[in-house]
Amino acid sequence: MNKIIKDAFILFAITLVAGIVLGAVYNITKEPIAEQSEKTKQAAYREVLADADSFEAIDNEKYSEENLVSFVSSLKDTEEDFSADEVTDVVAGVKDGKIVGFVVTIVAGDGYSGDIQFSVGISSEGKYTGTSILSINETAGLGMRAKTDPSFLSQFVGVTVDKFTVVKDGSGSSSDDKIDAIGGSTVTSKAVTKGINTALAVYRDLISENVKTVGGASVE
Amino acid sequence: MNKCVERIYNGLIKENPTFVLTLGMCPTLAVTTSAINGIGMGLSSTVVLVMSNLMISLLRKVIPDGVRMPAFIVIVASFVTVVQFLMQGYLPDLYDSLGIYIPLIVVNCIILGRAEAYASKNPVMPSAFDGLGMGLGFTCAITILGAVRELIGSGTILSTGSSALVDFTEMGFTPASIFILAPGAFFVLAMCIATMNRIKRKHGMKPAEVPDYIGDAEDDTKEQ
Repeated sequence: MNKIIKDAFILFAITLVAGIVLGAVYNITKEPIAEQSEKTKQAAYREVLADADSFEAIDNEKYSEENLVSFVSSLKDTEEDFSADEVTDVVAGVKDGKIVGFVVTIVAGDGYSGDIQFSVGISSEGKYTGTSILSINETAGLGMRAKTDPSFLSQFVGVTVDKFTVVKDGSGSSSDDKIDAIGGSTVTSKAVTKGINTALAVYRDLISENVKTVGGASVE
Repeated sequence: MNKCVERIYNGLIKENPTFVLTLGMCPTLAVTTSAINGIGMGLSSTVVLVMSNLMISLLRKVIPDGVRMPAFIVIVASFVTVVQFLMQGYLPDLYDSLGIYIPLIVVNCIILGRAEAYASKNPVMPSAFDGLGMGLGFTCAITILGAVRELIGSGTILSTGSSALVDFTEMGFTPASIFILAPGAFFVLAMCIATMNRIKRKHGMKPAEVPDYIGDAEDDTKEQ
């Protein structure tokens, strides 16, 4: 009986010390980690919408963090099924007091191995300006090429359409709204494209609402 | 000090954790799709391995036999989490490319294996060097695996994702994607082990030796 108590006590002591050390390290690294993720976010916004000088939140309850979920599920009844996608963040890119475009951050839930999170930039005229992948866990060398091989994502850039479609026969260059799938990674290609279509639907909604930013900037 | 050098040789060649002991197969097969991934995974495992061997060897007289497994796991998991926090805060690029594989270091059986087989029975210095040797052996092995798979499967050498040192696909080489998928890992691993055994046999060694610490670990301690 004594042995059990002694063993348990030693294990408890080790666990306690480990817990305290981990708490200390967490506190030390908390700030740099938060800084890094904020930096990554701002850099991602800038990467997808180079025209904007700064990025501001949108002054409309509909696009606040709490309401985005219900707002996106209202989009789901339209022509395409967006149920696997989640919009986590919508900001407006501002230049000279005017909105020059929007950045929509999407979590596409139907990737080949887990969620793919990315930011999408759309100019105020509806032109697609860029994509930046924030987190992706697809198979290295296959689905991962969505991030590493720029030829897939560059197909979207500069195009003004309502909806993109993935094709597998290599005919992507024949039409603006057709996107060549990544070879061997149709699931990833479709997940990303569907996420982008969700962002386009959000964009149309933003335009029809004629939104303003918290700083008072508007499209007109 | 000779013992420390012997430990590094032991980890790199004689008891290479991947090619001889075939331990830690999960990260070996999963992350070796490129040489850079192999280096990153190998070095972070080495850091954890050295620190956990050191700590476990220090505590080897304190930890009771009955609860040694949970105690080892707590120590290993703590070091892995520390490495993960530090990497996330200060080396975000490496953290991004290794991602979910960092927590997996906890369940890498090389680490628990070395804690159980060596560090818990031997003095601090040899244990730390045992960790270093094993870690470097692991790093070399998975870097070789990664380099071969990357060369055949993606047609590149030392690719970091966006840029590569040499890109054979631009010279008309069609990569065999199967080599960066799971089966390719087994093919290349089998070839590497066969080559290793062949070289060993040439030098008059048995292909796979019974580790010498089994059975005489107690004597090792007395010698010190």
